[in-house]
Amino acid sequence: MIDESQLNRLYRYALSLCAESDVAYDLVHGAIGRFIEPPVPELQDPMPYLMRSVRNAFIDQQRHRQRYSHQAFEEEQVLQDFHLKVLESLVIDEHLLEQLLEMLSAEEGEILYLWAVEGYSTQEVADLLEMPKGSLLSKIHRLRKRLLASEWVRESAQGEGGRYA
Amino acid sequence: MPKSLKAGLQSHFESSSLSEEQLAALKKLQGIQNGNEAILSKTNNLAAELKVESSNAQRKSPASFTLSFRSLAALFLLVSTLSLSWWYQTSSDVKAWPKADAIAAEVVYNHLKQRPLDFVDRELGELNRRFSQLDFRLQRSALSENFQLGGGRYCSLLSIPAAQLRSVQGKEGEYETLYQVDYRENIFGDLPIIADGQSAIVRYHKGVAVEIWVDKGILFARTISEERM
Repeated sequence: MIDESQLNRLYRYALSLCAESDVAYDLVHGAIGRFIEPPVPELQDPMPYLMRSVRNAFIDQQRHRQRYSHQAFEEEQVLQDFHLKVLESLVIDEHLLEQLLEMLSAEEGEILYLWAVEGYSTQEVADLLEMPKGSLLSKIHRLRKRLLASEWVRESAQGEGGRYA
Repeated sequence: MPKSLKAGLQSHFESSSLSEEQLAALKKLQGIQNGNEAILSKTNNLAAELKVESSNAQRKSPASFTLSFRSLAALFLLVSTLSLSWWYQTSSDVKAWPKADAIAAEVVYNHLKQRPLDFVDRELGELNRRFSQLDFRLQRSALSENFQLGGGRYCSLLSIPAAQLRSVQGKEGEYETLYQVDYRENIFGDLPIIADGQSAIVRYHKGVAVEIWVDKGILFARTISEERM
């Protein structure tokens, strides 16, 4: 049985992908429905399985709508020091957060959610997104650039100079 | 007031949660499964008990063993005959319409899901304008003329982009789903073409009947409400 807090976690994750509460609920409902279809997988922690299920369903939906596009991965942009921790030093005015999330792609929103809310490491995010760690590092690099270019996000005074913790 | 991006994201997401109704629905969904598991386990226990009883009976009396052997042989013959006759009847049908069952299964699955509509409109022309991502035009067909259009959503059928149209709800909440998708024979196999004088075929899945046919180059798959049965 998936309890309330796990259902809410799953819902928030779905929300980070689609940003629409009805669609997020629909994704969670679908994932639970598939999960309980016999034979029910015996898992100590069903959350990674359910999150992957939500994600796959979301990507399927978006592909059908031809809106989801994987950005081309450029190997030369991989910078090993662009770890998720480089995002720790960023600050934002809280009232601008909603606008910022609207500006991001589904994938960028997902990365931020997994980092900030789930507390995943770079390797854990790469595993969940089923992509090589190098590709993820490249995406974090681009994401950070985009965030700073938005002018809503800036480096905290303490963070400057200490980006690559 | 500036806040760290991480803390901002945490409070943003943690302020969103499922409503009481949504939580109740998801718990109910899992409850149904728990009920099914209980039934399954009961059935298994019963089967195990029967097995024990049957082996005890065989040990007790040679006469009952002969009787059960004859019964089993007769049962085997009966099952074989019925299976052969069923296979003979259905194999030609399956050969004729090889993808019909898969189409019906997908249509029924989404019909029962009742996902939110992308567009609410009763006019086919207007829906054609709104379904701008499709590479075909929605069509009217003789067999869908009494379909009271209520709206539609993007969907797919056997992974081909499709329009899932939903009828307006009847007085008792009943509704029908009509799929339209560009008919590709290599994907959907042979299906009855109305213009060639063929009739729509009907397939059942999860107790829901689905009519399938091809008209004007479009594959139509329409659930049949109890009212039309």
